[in-house]
Amino acid sequence: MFTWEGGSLNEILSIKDVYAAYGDLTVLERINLEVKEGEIVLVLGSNGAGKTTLLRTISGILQPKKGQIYFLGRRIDGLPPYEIVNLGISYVPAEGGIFPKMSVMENLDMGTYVTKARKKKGERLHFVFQLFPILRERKDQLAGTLSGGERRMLSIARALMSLPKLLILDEPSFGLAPKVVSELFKAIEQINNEGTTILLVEQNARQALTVADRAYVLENGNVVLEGNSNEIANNPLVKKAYLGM
Amino acid sequence: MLELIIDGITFGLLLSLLGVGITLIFGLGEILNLAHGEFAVICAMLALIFMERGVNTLLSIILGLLITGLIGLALERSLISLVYRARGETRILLGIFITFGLSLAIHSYLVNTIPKAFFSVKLPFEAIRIGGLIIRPSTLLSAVISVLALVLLEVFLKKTYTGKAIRAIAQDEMDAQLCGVNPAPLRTLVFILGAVMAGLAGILYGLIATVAVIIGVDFTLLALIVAIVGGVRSIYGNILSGVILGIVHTIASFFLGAYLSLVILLSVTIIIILTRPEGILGEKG
Amino acid sequence: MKKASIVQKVIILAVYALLPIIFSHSYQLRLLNLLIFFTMFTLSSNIIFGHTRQLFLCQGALVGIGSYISAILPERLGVAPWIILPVGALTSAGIGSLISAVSSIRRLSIIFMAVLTSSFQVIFGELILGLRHITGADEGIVIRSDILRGLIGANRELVYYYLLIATLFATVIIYDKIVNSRVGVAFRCIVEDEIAASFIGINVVKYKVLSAFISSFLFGFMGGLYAYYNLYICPSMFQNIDVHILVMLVFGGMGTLTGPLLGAGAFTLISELLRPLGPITTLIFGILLIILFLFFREGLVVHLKRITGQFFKKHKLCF
Repeated sequence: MFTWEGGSLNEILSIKDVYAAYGDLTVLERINLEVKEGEIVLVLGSNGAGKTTLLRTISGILQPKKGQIYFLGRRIDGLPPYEIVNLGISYVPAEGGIFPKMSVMENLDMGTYVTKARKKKGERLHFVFQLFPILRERKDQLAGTLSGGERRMLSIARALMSLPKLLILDEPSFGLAPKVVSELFKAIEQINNEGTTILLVEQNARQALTVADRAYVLENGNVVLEGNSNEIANNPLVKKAYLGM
Repeated sequence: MLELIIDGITFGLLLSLLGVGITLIFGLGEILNLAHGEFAVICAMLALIFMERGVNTLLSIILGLLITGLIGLALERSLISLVYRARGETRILLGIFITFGLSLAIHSYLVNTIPKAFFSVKLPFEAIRIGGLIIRPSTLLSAVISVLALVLLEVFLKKTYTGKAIRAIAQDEMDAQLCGVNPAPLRTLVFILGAVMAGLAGILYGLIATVAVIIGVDFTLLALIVAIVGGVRSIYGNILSGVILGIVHTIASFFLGAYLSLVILLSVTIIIILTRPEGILGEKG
Repeated sequence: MKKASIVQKVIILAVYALLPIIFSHSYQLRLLNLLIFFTMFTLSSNIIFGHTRQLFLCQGALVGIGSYISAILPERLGVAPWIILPVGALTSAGIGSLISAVSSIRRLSIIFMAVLTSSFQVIFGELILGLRHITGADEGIVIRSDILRGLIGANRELVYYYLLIATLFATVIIYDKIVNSRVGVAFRCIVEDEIAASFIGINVVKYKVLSAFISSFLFGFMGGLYAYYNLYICPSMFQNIDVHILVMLVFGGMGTLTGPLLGAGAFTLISELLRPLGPITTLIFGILLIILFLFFREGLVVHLKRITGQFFKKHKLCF
């Protein structure tokens, strides 16, 4: 039934020599990246380095030009986004990620559209409401009427409803007040502790490095640096470019 | 006057059935179905064919609706799915031209093959009197069935996973895919649903009046007006605008004649397009 | 204008001018005349849709306005037809410009343009039917004022033919001038990307209205001329004009000059071949419209060029 097509056994996600482009404009050049089961992996990089493109390629919105992507040993590049979600990867884009004309509760229902998540809906709802209590209060409100922070929480909660094995977050702290950002990072750690592997793209490198296990630095579509969070945080280049030291 | 308003509401509900189909099909696939009204005629004519062969009226109608659904399925899988390959503005233009050609082809085919076919259903009941008010049972039945169909649709869209997924696609297709929704089969489903609802509108029109083969174009036009006035993405808006337009159309036809009534309706539509392109209820609902 | 393109046009003109020598029968001449009417309709549709992407599903009404004004006014006012002809054309132009102006100022999307313009088309049709005492409704109008009244006795079809090719070539020359001028550049920018065009300082509304004015003027003018040529008009003549124009336009390829010429030629041929089938031709045109738009969107000319291009490559012929 199930064959292991590629990637090492403890790797949940394995990206091999991936190239991606928008039309003629190459954005990713031979990217290699692994995420191991249970990790929080951070991807750092300046604007235009190709971080979002990388996430869009993993989630199936964009097809890679070359290379392979393996998820739990199964090749997933070329699959449409809805199949990739069904396999267990949930992607939370930097903007959107909610249906503004549906209530909060309906948005969460959409999270359980993935059939295997429907049975555990009650359990899952309990978890996300404990993670983001404000959503319980707002559950009958239209998602479009939520504040920026609440929307972000809803989009993460919706992704969690699908029971992902790998949660991909694109700039979760972008545009949010510092207090909300701290809350969000606490939630990210909690999600990880509960057993979900996380791949995270962040501008806010300082805070992100404290929660991440390992990190990659992307520049001009290439991985220029990788290592565990401590190494990366102490790297002089990273200190200068991303930590402002 | 009260009778006119009741007739207007009945006709309006029927227009809502047509308008909702246009709205749903456009919401999911960005195809403005200019052949929508033809489904109403096709369904009525199919029912008529069965009835003429001696099939029981109710069964004929059910068969008509079923076959209309199948025709919808066949068209969606063949022609319309080719349009989906295009993106953005090209898709919208293609959708307009393809369904325009389709409506022309269906219309011309029907007018040439069965020009003198008329579909109507007579109920074996007497008119009901409430005080001075006389209500025809066919009017009542038509209104009840329309409301029932619209309520069922609403329940389907609000309460089921499939219905929610349909609404999700209409809001943001990529986002819906990120929830695990495969849009293609749902687009097919909505097209079939639209065709069957239009078919039902055709049958119900046979209860309150007579369906002739040439009427498809008028149905399409009225359905477009309902959809535009109601806001192309709003279902409540469609029902409200359908009822209002039905009342206005019925009263205006009675006092001013059918030509002028249509001119008035269309002029109102033009004014609404130019002043509030998002419809009378805005984007909400 | 480049020399080659002048030579090309002179040759085409000469061919057109000499055609009546071969096709001298009045039936054949009538077909040639219809061909030129179709060509003109397609040319003017090309200006508005091919060059500025404004969806006008009311071309039948714009032609019809010119026709009905030219048919009705001369007798009612006792004015010569050739004075009324431009009046009809200007009325169409005014209405076309108005539609274009309101829709481009309001930035209507394609679907709203489609509904707006087709509503207008239906209003026109209903008014023609409703104003029976003026328009004759379904029965139509027989026209007694002919612009060629002075030439009775001459070969009417032939005289009209030369009048029509003169109109066609005047239009082609003006069209060429426009397309190769700053206006043409603006048109191309608008088709490429409307928003980008407005960023580089192109007044999108102005150019859209201009193109609508030119093409609606042509529609109205040809509509009037058609009424005088045909000496009879009725509502059904204007019903399917939009479909026919679309078929011709996409047949030949949009945004080009040769496209409409070839498209109209092919269309005239097809509709003549299909004529024995009677009213079922509308069915065939509906299907043709679908097939053309699905599979030959860039125009048949492009496909033919590709095929012939490959042929010439294979045989090492150069042009």
